[in-house]
Amino acid sequence: MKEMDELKKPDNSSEVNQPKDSGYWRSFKELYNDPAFDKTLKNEFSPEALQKPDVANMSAVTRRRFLALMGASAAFAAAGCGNYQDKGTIVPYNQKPEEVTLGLPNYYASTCTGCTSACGILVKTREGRPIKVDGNPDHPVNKGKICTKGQASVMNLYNPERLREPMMNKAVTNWNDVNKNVTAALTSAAGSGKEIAIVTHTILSPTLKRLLDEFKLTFPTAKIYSYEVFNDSARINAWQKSYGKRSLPVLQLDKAKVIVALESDFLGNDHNMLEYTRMFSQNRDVMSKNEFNRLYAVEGAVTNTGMNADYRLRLRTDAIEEFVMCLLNELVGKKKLSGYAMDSRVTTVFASNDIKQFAAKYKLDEKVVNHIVNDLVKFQGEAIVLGGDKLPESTHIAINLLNEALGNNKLYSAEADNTELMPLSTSAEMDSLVQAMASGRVGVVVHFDTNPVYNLSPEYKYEEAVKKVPMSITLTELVNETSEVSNYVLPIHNQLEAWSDFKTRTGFYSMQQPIIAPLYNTRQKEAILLNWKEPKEFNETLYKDYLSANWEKVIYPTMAAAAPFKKFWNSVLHDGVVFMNEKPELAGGAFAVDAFASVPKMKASNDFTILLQGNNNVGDGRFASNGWLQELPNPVTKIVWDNYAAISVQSAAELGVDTNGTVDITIGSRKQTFPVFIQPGMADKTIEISLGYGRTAAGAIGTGIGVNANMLIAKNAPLNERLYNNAQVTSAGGKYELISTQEHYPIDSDPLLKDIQFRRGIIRQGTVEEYKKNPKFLQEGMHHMDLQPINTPPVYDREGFTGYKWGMAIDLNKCTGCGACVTACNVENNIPIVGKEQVKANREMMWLRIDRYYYGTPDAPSANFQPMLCQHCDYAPCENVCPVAATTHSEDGLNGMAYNRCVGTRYCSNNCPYKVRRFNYFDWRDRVSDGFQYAEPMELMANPEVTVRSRGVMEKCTFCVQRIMKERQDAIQEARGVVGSNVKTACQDACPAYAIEFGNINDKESTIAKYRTHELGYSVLEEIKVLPNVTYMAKLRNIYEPMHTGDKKHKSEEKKSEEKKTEEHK
Amino acid sequence: MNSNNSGNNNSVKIKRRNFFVYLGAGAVAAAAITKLPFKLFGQKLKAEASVKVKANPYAVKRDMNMSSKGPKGQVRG
Repeated sequence: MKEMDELKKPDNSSEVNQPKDSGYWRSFKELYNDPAFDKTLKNEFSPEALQKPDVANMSAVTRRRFLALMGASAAFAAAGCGNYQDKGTIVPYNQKPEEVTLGLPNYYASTCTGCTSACGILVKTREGRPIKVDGNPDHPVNKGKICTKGQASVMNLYNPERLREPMMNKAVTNWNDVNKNVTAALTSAAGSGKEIAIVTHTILSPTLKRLLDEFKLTFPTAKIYSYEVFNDSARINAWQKSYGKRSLPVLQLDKAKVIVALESDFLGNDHNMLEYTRMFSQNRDVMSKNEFNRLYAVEGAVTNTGMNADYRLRLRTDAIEEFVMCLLNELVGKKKLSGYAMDSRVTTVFASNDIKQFAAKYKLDEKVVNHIVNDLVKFQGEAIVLGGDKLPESTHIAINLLNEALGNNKLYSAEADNTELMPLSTSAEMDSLVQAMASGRVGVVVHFDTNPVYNLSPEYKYEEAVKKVPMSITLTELVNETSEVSNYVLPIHNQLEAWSDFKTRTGFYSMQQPIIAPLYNTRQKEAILLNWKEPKEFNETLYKDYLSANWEKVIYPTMAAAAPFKKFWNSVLHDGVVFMNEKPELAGGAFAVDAFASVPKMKASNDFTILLQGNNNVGDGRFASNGWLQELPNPVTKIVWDNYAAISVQSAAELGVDTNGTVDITIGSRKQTFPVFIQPGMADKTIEISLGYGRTAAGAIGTGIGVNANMLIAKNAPLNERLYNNAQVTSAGGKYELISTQEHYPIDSDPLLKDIQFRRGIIRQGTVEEYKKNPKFLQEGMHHMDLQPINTPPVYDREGFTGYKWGMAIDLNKCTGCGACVTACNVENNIPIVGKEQVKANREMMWLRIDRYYYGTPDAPSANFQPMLCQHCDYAPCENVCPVAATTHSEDGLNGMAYNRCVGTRYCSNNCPYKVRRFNYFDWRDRVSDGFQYAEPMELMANPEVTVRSRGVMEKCTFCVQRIMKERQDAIQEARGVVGSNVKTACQDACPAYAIEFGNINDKESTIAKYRTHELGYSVLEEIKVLPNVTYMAKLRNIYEPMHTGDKKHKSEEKKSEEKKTEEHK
Repeated sequence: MNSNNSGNNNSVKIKRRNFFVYLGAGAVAAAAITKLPFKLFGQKLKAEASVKVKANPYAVKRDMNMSSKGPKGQVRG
């Protein structure tokens, strides 16, 4: 509160409370020169890390006695004990499996089931066990990339808390008894007319659909209910009303010159993020001749997409439909760009919406609004207006009309983006299920890998109803809120142990095959259902046979394949995807004007708007047990291990709350309390909260993390299940500490050198126009600090070196800050989880971090994302100071780390200007959650190519030296030279935007060498002359105005002071 | 509070000579015990893991050298 009061002070006498000059800032404390923050900058370590032991309460054992005991113990230990590092004898295979070659990986294609996108994956296995999940390069949607949840999914397989045996009434039982009891109950229910309810997620598998249809034939009272927390129902329903079909087209964003994203986080958490990120970044490539696209974001929440936009307008979400009406009025009504201008059914709807008045009412930058209008006019047919999945149907219909009127439907692909094998259940249908359960009309309910007790709105009262069902069964991998109230809890296969097929889009099928035999006594959920439908002796191939039989009888004949079915089947499994000639069922015909005219419109209210967001961490809560995802910083806020209510500066001031305070949010009869995070750029009276947190039964890692925002979901939401504009928000007066990594390791501030942060150029950017006029603008504008290099003379002479030298380039134009690279690095390099408390002490272990720098004002900031990792400096300041030479430089330019030499002085980390070194203060695997990471079978998850580090050892990015070594081995075997482009680091492989390039910088023809010499290339902290080998491409904003950032401001100030000095000298 | 000069020092100060005698005797005794065939102090071998890893025999391994972009519905030989 005091901080907020001081911010309002009109008196300019105190420098402390004035915002810094425009430049880069990471948080409000930095922006407003908080003395407490300045103090923390001087400290290498956070206060929590420096807590001294409480000496007064220590034991009074004398020093003499202590040493005597220690000496005796050491003597016994040395004499008696065996080698503590001895883990036993390693015995090689005596019957080696045919497909395994020791030391070499195998790869299998499959499909990820983390969300409804069903991306193709390629799973790397070593000695029969999966260790890494990457995208399948042959999959037409994700093309070799996978999101954070997909990357981290390997941990789900080895989660020690996975259920291992079937349970009946919380006691372990066996499958035979389960099947006997369940089939009896199913038969009885069907015979007595009682409903058999199967609650599932979206059905994406044609074979599963067939199985469910057959199940319904066997048990005529069976009904299938499906739900999905993050669904596109509003958009699909809007499309159906607009065009009469339910198939959405794929949007060809790679052909769009202008994209207007209305509360659409297509670069973050909205549907199809991988494909849209790839398409978007294709037109952000400084190495290609493509013109840059221009992205406008109009949003209430602060999203990845908004932070990457060239122009961003903050507008409360329930006013977005009005904004679309204003655009329609301007473009169709006034400029008459479309024949719809003649249709009074259309024009009367938006005739009263004036864009200037709207901009004034919501304090929008009129200049930006004019740019949007002008660009939509100029680029008709080459622009697209996107609506986010939280907007209601009416807004999507309006957006469809806008795109239609501007001819932007040329960017609709012929492919259908979604294939609806079975529509999701409506809220009325879910309600009727709950009523039926509560009134005893349901004999058996089967939760088919779903968790409705947690996911559904509390208004359903699902938990109370399910307790009244005589037999409730939950098929699940892990304990969850629904399994806690079910009679039978049946363990199912992980996605890497299961068979399936997927039809998500026109033109191809994706296949899922098991990479590993089941680790426990689990069964495939489809096989369980099949066994109940046709009781017979169970075997592990039951569903595989059913699947292949379905393909042979139903799908294969439609393929007109030349090969016999067996070969075809093996080929399909090999590729993971099979293409086919398929005519999409897209809508033809005209836009249904009546739908636009008649649908009730969303109107902005005066209350708070609540947005319930997806996230790239826990999804709808199903990944809450995955520690890597919990510890992954949110791309925008950098908060870990929690969710929160993100709120604007102004709204927080009005409520009298500050970050780490709490607010009560009430929507109708539903109420919940959340911790507060003041987020720059949020629209006033708009609050954004992530779903998937606040679980009460998610194991040691996921239970009790965050607050359950599902409590705010309404059964019959007037707008959208994830958007409410009738919320009452009050201060709850509590305290809740949120942990954010955004202030860790700032390298841009040094009070010893006044304003050095403006001239350090950690982020360099310009505009596309500036670059076109003068491609060398960056080199000319750079400040050259007159500082002596840190190492004088150089440690070693690199001139004349003719071998290969590794380097990396990161294109900041393409990086969206999604975090896939961070997760991939964690998986590849066996990075441990440290837990929330240790992240608070700045001890997170991730080798790669994404720094997010704001610039601009707290109300309307822009952001830059910069992946920061070990720069492998030629004159590395860390190498000189190691007393035991544990960190040295290799011949090929790597800054190496010898873990078994390191004694943990941490001098190297102290000296690192980029703060990229990570120290193992503890044995994290032992410390976090009672040794969770040591519990069986977590050790199977480790990548055997990378050392698992223990306590007391420094670690950092190695440029994936294990992959470099693999290339060297291949080169030796094949008697050729090392080819730099054959090595792809884990982060490079994972980046969906292709922002990271790696290779041999001495190969002048290579892409990496071209990045190094590109006119937009620069190094971070160049002036200290450590010669880093990571080159960043300066970010170009595609804006009309010249850019004003701190470094340019100070350039002009410096120029003025130099001119003044020259005049005085004269 | 730790102190070299604790007021309540009831411990009997052992003579240096005796200390080393006892230490040596203890070391010899420990060494002798470890030579017994009972492996009292030896590191026990880790019990056989309860989770067995076995590749799925029906999974089709990806040939990383082979391009998989064949014609639609067709199979390479």
